[in-house]
Amino acid sequence: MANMTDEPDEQGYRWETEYERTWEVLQEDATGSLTASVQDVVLGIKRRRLLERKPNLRLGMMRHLFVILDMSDSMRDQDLRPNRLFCVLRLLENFINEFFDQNPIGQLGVITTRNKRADRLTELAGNPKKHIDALQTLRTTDPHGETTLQNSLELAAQTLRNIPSHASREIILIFGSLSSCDPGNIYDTTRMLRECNIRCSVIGLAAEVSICKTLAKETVGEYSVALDEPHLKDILMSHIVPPPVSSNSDSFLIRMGFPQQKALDRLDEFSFCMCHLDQPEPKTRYGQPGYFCPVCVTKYCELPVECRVCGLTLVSAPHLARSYHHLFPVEAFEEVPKEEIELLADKKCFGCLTETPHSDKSGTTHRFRCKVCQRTFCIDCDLFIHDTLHSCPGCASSAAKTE
Amino acid sequence: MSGLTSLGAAQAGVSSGIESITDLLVVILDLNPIWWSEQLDNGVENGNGPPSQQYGLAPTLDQILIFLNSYLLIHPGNQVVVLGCLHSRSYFLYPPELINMPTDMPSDSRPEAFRIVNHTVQRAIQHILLQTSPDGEPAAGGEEKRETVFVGALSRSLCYIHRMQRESPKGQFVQGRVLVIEAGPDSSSHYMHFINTIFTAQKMNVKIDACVLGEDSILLQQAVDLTGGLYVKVENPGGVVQVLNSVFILDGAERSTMSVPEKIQVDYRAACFCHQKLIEVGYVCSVCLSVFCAFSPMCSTCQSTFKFMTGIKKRKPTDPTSSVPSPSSSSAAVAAVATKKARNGTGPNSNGKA
Repeated sequence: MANMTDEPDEQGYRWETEYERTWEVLQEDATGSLTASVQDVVLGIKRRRLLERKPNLRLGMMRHLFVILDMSDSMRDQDLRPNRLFCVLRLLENFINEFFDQNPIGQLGVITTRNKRADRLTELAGNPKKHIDALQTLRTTDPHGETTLQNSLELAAQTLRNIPSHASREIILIFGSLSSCDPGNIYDTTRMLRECNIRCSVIGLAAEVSICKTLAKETVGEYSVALDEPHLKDILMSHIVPPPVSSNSDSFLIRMGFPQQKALDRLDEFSFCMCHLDQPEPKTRYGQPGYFCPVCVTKYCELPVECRVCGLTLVSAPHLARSYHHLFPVEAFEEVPKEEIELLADKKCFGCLTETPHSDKSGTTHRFRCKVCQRTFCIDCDLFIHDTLHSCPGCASSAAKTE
Repeated sequence: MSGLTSLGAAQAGVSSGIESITDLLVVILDLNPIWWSEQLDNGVENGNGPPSQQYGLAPTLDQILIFLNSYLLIHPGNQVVVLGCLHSRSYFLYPPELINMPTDMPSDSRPEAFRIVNHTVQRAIQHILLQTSPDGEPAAGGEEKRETVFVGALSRSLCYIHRMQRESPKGQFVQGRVLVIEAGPDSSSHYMHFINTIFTAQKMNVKIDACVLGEDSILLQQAVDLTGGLYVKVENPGGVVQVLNSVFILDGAERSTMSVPEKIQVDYRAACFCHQKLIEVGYVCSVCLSVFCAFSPMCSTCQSTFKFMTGIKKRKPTDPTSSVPSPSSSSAAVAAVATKKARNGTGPNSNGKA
């Protein structure tokens, strides 16, 4: 955590640092095309991000996250296409799906701020579809007025401070404007957030704003300003990985239910499910197989869910296991040095059988080796393994037990 | 047949600009030498029994090759990849990883594509089972165990599908599917790799189908259920080709029009880390997500010490900001659990379900 608090100030401003000749990295290939060269740079950046990931920190696995979305006038700006709001909404939908895919036991809520007010769009809940449906409605809402930082933070904190302390409490603020209309002293709010252990990260869409920077710094969050759409996407995606847990949070044993799916054969077993009860046609789900809460025998169609009757968190074992990869990430692969590339017995990528081209002028070999099983992979498989698969095919194929 | 798929996809994917879909079938073949030789021994021992009750590698492989040929025949765009898995290794059989593409193809009346696939797969299997692999390990016997680990092959096939999707020209989409033909029993090692792989398949929209020759496989049942594939246990060694050709030959949209085996009920209960017994209600460590069947003051996995939940219950009513309670917020729910726990003691499953 130390790295987050003392890093940003020492860097100084971009224009004070040494002049970078970014175009000199690019080199034309035999056909005069730059595509391959540009691709190398892009992949290189992605790989660097993998290397920066720190293993084995205590992570806040049970995440409770509020996304605060700026809906002020500034979101009409067209520097992101078609405008800031639509671009952010599109990326947020993606983010929410990914968030629940990677953090199946996490919860998320959305707050919008416009016209000097903060409104809760969705409560903290675990169903991605609900949030995405709510976000869809924002497409028809006109961004309007000024944003209010303080009100929206207070609103999020109201819910988050009641979350038990073993869970990680987080706010991600997507901030398009350069000003905020607040009723009181914003520094009091910042202090309160810090005391409540709520981690606030801010993603700026316009320019760096001092108060946002302070807010993120005080609450051990991250502050970043998006340059363009891909960068914004990268920043959002970096929040998918659970953050390191703050030192003074407690650990608890949480009671959870692991219901079994059960098909209903007899007519007297037929029942309504709890999840579709408030929808217009609950009948359509009548008598369908479902998961039954082991405590109060309420039926649900999908897991994970929190039992509406007894409040027990119902999950399935694969969902829990899905979260383990954050705790045991695949170690970053090392690049095979130029001298060894000729000695490799296997010239093909272990994952996809691609024969990687020989090293080019830049001196990279494009072959990456798992430190555990010594198999080598191409760069695409390397990224796929670390970003999506989260397990090394080589280690999974060998007899040595890894767990 | 794929015409149907592409039609459906064309309707679905108008906005994404996808013009055509290529189907890619990855077959993972269990080559576990111990299981196959056991089958052979059984056949020799009860020599007077009906010979059709045992699996032989060669006859079964012939049936699988017939299936692959029919799959290739059904649409010119269809592609196959074959992997073989043993207890501790996995190999690409087609396209071949260990041997070069054979050039001395016996010429017969079959189409060129079939001959290449059949011949390459047979050669590669021979190579694996007869000769020593490059790792220096004996290819058969020795370190081999009876259990099959297909996870490695599965994750490699996802890498391969990923590559094919990446390399496909614009407007074309490669729809992958994996068929696991498992013979030997499951191995519980590599469970985490397994889960990661299954969820990746789910995310990539790759269905995992399972055709089981030996005993039922719980792992494969989970994989099939999570990815929406089909699970079939073959009862008759001579009927492998019928099952493959009638159930697994079609994928995607056409499947809904066929009569396919019913979905199986999968057991998703967790096993507790302390006694390895399946539980319905358990306690989960908030730091490392280990599962325990009873409350203990310390996590045996990550060594964190636990506080009692009752502390929150006391604090909550005094909290001035909680005057507006939100019914769905999890704080209320966890407090409810805490209350319940305080009342019931630790009895996890007094109610149980019918």
